Amino acid sequence: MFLSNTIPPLGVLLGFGFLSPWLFGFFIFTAAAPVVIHLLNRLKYREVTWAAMEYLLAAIQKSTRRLRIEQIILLLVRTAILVCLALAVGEPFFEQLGSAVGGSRRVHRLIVLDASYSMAYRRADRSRFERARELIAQIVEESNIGDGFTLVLLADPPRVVVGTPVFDRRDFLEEVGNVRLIHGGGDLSQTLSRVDELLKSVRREQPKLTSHEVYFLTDLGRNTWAPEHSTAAAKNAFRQRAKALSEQVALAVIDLGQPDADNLAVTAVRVAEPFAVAGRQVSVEADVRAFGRGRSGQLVEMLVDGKRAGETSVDLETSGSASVSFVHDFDAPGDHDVEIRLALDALEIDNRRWISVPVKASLKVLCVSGQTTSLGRRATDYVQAALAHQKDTQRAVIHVDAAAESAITDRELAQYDAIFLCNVGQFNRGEADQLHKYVQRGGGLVIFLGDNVQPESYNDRLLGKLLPARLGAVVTLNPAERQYVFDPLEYAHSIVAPFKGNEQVRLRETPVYRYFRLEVPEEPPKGRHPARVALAFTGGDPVIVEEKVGRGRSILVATSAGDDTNKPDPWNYMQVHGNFVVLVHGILGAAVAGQLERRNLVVGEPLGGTLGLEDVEGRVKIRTPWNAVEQAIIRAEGDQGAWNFAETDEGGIYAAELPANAPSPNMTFAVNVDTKESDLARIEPEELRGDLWKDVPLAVRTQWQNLEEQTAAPIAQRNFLHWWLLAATACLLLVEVVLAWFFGRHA
Amino acid sequence: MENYQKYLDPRTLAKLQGLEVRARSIVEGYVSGVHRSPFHGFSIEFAEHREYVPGDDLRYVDWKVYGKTDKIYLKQFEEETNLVCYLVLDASESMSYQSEAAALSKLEYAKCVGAALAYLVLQQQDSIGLVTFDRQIRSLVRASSNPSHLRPILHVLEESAGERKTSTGPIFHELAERLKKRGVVIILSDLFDDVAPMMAGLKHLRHRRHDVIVMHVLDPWELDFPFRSTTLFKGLEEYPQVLTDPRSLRKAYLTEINRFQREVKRGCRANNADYVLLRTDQPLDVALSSYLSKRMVHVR
Repeated sequence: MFLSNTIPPLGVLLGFGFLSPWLFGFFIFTAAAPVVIHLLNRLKYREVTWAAMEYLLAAIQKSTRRLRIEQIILLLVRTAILVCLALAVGEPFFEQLGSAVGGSRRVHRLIVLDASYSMAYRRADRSRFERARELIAQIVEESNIGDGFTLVLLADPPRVVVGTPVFDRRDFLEEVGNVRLIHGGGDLSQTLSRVDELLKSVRREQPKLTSHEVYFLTDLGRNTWAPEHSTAAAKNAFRQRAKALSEQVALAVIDLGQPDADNLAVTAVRVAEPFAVAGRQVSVEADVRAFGRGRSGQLVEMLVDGKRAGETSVDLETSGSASVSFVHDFDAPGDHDVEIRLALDALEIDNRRWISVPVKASLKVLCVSGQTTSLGRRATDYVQAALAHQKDTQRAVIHVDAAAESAITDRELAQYDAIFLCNVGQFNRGEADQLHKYVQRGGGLVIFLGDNVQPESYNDRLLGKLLPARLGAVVTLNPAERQYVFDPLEYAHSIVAPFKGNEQVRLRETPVYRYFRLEVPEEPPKGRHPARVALAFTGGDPVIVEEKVGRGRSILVATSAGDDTNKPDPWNYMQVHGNFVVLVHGILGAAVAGQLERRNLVVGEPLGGTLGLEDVEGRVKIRTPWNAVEQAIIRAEGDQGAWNFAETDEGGIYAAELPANAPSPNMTFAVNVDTKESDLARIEPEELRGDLWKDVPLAVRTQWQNLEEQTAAPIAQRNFLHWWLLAATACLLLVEVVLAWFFGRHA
Repeated sequence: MENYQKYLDPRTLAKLQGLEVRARSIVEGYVSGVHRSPFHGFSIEFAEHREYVPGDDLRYVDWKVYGKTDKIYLKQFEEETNLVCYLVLDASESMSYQSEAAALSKLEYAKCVGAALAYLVLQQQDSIGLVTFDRQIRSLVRASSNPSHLRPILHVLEESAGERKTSTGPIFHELAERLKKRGVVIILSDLFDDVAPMMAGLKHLRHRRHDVIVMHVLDPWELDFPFRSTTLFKGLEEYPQVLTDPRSLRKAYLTEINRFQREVKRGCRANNADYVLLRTDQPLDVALSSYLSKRMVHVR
C-alpha cells in the first residue's frame, strides 16, 4: 500500500525537467543540424582543375588557423541558437537555479485527504470522498512534471499513505484509488504533527523539491476542525502548530462539505443484561439520533444473525434522539450478531450498528473460601446462595463450584466466567500469577475480605497486578455510631444501578460495622486502568472498587461476605440483608462484563484473543465486513498464545476462525463507528479563520478552478525562464549574423 | 564591309578554326580599328624604285613617277630596322587551364596572340622566331622574315600542348645564351613559377640587350576567384588536390595572387621589361598594341 521506493525520472534526479519534453526532444535534434550540414557540405562539392594552386595553397596555409577558429565559433553559435530554441520550446526548469533566477521550481504537493466517515455523505450521484478523489486527480494532472506528491489521511490516528514523494502521476493516483474510507473520525492536531514530520523528512531526503504545498480535501466537519480541546494550553499548542506550519508551506483547504446536510444514526446498541444465556430472553436496546432535521415514523429494524428479528418505529425531533428496545430469545449458545438498522440515508455508514452477543449455555462461577467455621460454614456460603438465587428455576443459568484456597492452583481457571474469593488469607506468587493471567484473559475476579485476610500479602502479591486498591487498616465502628452508611455515588456504576429508584431495598442502610480502608490511587500506575469506586461509605472510604485488568475485571469489596451472625465483632450483616442477592448479581454482572465488552469495539480498536501455547505460529482467519479474508499470526506472549488484528477500519461484523482446538473456534466481533462523525455540522471558513486558524494564512476554496490562481504564479515563473531563453536565441541569431558578416568580410 | 574588330574578341576567335585564320583575323581586326594604317606609321625609309612585276602589292605603286614616266614603279623601302622578334610561349600544364568565364584556355589565348604577332611581324618584314617551353625548351623556330616562315611558326604553335610543369628561370637563362641576335623577346606565359629565378632569367635576357615584353596571360577566375560553394581544387603541374570552402579563402587568395602579380610587375620594371596583363576574357588588341609601341621605341 505504501510507496517507499518510487524511482523518479532521470531529469528529476539531475535536477531539471521539461514542461514540453516532446518539443524539446524534437528541437534538440536540430541542434546537430549545423554539424550535419557542415559534414554534408564536405561530401557534396564541385570539382575544379586549378592552375594557380601555389597561391591557393599559400592562402590556405595562412588562413587555416583563422578559418578553423571562425568556423568553430560559427558552428558553436549556430548550435547554441538551436539548443536555446529547443530549451525554450521545451520550457525547462532547473532546480538549483529556480529560486535564484526566479525561474522554474519543483513543487512537493502534500495531499491531506479527510478519510473520516462523514466524507461518505452522498449528494447527487457521488460522495464527498469520491469528489475528493476526482479533485486529487485534477491536482495531479494539472501539476508539472517533476512535482512530487505525498498523501496523508486525516483520520484518528492519521495515516501516512504515501510518505516518500511520488513523481509518477499514475502510481500516485493508483495509491489514491486504493485508499478506503476509514469508518472513524479525524484528529486534526495529530494529522498536523504527521504533516510537519513528513515535510521535514521530504526536505531532508528530497532537497530538489524546493517548494511545498499542503492541500486539505475535507468537508470541514466541526468535529474535526473545531475540536473541543481539553485545556487552553492544548488549544494554544494547536494554534502554534498550525501557524508554524503555515510559515513553512502554503496551506489550502478545498471545502467539500454542504451546509444543509442532515443525518440519522444509530448511536448505541447494548444488551441490557450483563450476560446472555441460551434460552433466556435478553433485551437489546438501541439509541437513534437525528443530526439536523427530525423524522417521524422512522423505521428501526433488528436483525439477529442476518435475519430480521424485530422492527419498530420512532419519532425523532430535530436534533433529538430516541431509544428503542427489542427482546430476543437466543435459542442456542455461541456468538450471535445483532444488527440494528435504519432505512438508508445520505450517510449510510452510521445507519447500521452491531453488537456481538456471546450466548452461553450457563455461567460458571468458582467460589473460593478462605475460611471454614467450626460449624462447617464457609465464607462463600452466602455468595453461593446469592448466586444460586435465580429467576429461572427450570434451568440453572449460573453454575457455581465451591472450593478451598488450593483450588487457585489446582483448577483450570479458564473454564470459569468469574471467581469469587472470600476471606482468603494470603497468596503465594504462583497463585497471584494464576489469578493475574485469568483476569488478563477476560475473567472476572471478585474479592471479599475478612478476618483471615493478611493485607501485606494482598498488597505485595496482588496490588501490583490486579488489586484495584491498597488494603489499609481495618476500620472499626465508632461506639457512638450505629453502623456505617453506604453512599451509592448517584448509582452511576452498573453494580449499584439496579438500586436506583428502589429505595425500598434500603441499600444505604446495609449494616456494615468493620471494613478495610481501601486506598485508591489518584493516578493509575503505568499500564493500569483507573480504578472506579462503585460504592462508598458516606465518610468517603470505598466499599466496592472495580478495575479493568487486561480483558477482565477485578472487583474488590472492602468488607466480608462471610457468616458473622454469631460473632461478637461482626464485619457486617449484609448477607442477611435483603439487597445482598441484588448486590452479588450486580457484582457478577460487572465481573463478566469484560466478555461482552471485548467483542464489541470501536473502529480502529484491535481485535484479539488468547490461546494456548500449542497454537503459537498458527493463524487466525478473519473475515472482514468487506468480505476479505485476512490472517493474524498467533504469537507467544508469556506462557500463552495471543493474536491481534488491528485493521478494523470499517464497521461491521468481523468473524474470527480460530484453531480447531480453541475453546471457541468461531468468534465474532462487532466493530462500530464512533458517532461523533455522524454530526455533519460544519465550520464555516469565516468562523474557522476567526478561532483556531486565526492569523494563519489558509486559503479556503470550494472549486479547484479557484486554486488555479494559486498555481498560476509558479507557471508564470517558469515562463519567465522560457522567455529568457527565447531572448537568448534572438541575441545569438544577431551575433551569428554579425559574425558571419565580419568573417565573410575578412574572407 | 566585314567587321573585323569582332575577331579581337576571344569568344569569336574560339569559333574560328586554325591559327592562321585566327592570326589574320586578329591583325585585320586590329588594323581596321585604327585610323591610320600601322604600316604607314612605321619608320620605314624609302630606298629606291623598282619596276612593277605582276603580283606586287599595288599599294606601294609610286603614282607620281607613273604620272611622269607612265611606268609603274614600286617604292622600295629599306629594311632599316631588321627587327628580330622572338615569341617565347609557355606550354606548361598550367597554361591549359580554362575557366567557364573564358572562351579560350590560357594556352589557346597565348597561341592566338603569338600567331597574330607572327603574322603582324612578318607583314612588317621583320623576323619572327618562336620558342616553346615548359621545364625545358620544347621547340625553337629560328627567326626569319620570309613570309613563308609564318607556316612553320603556326605549325609549332598548334602542336604545342600544355602537359608538364614549368620552369621559367632556367629557360630564360638558356634563351639568353641561345638567342644571339638582339631583338624583341615576347614572353607569353602565366608565369606560375618562382619569381626570383624568373626575374634573374629576365635580367639575363636584358643583359643580352633584348627588349622584353612579358605578356602575363591569366584566366579571369584566377584573378577574381569567384567560387562560392565547397570545391575540390585539383592542382595542375603536380600540385595536390584540396577540398575547401573558397568563399572563406577568397580574400587570402586574392592577396596571394596580387602579391605575385605585383612582384612580377616590379621585377619587369626593375629590368626595363614591359609588362602586359592579358586576361583571356579580354580582346587581344592589347597584345598587339604593346608590341607595336615597343617596336616603335626599338626602331628609333
